[in-house]
Amino acid sequence: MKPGYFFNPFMKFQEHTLLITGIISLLLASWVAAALNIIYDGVINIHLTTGQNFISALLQNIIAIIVLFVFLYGISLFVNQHTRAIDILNVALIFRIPLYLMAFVIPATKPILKKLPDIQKMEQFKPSGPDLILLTLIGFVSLAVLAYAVVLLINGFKTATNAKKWFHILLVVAGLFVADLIAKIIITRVFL
Amino acid sequence: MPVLCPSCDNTLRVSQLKCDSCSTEITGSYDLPLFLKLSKEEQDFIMDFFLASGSIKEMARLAGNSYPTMRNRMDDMIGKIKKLKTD
Repeated sequence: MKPGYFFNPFMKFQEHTLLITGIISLLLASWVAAALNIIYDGVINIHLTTGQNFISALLQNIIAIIVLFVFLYGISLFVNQHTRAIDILNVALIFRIPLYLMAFVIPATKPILKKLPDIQKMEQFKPSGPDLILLTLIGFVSLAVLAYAVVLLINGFKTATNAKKWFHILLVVAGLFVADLIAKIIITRVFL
Repeated sequence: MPVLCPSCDNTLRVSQLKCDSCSTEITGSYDLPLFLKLSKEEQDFIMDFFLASGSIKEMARLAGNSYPTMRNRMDDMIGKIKKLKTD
């Protein structure tokens, strides 16, 4: 696989390959989320939770994907009326794969989070050296993963719509944040 | 065949035609046909599209690319040809 395809698999792979990959990763990620007590409570949100199960994790992921798809498809029709829904759905599915992988990183914060005092005593909290290194490392990994996911989203959108203007990319980024907010509200109301 | 002037990038025109059989030469200033104003890659793309019975999907499969990638290339070329027609 050429390096360019790592950042834009939508250029290379046919829609059915991307769709199957997206659905399989969605199912696997929901299973992992149930096993590790992870909640995807938004389009780009991932947190530790308690009592997670496969069906709830799957529904939370599906809500996030549908909300993002609705926003992206709306923007795509504004950019190019010939855009196919399947290409945008694939973007919404594939873009989340890096975020799913964060499920293996986030539980590492659990022992440190347990040591956190309540918010009034936060200034007294002095994390140990190894804890600080681990938190910093997780922070960098999270940022890198989020950046890669956004690159996938933008490249996928550009490929699906043939968008070339900066304004279109700004719309996508704005759409991502609004979709994240709406998905978070829905998931929080339904599941928490 | 070159279609752009290597010195100033303007579109070239045909100024001379010659018959290989009787050596008759015609001199003038003729516009290049629209198809010939496209680059070699673009001409090949149109030819491939024709040979694939007008199926972008089939062209994408043969080129090992996705459908939207191929359709975007087609849309870009349509835009370029429309611009050439109005210029």
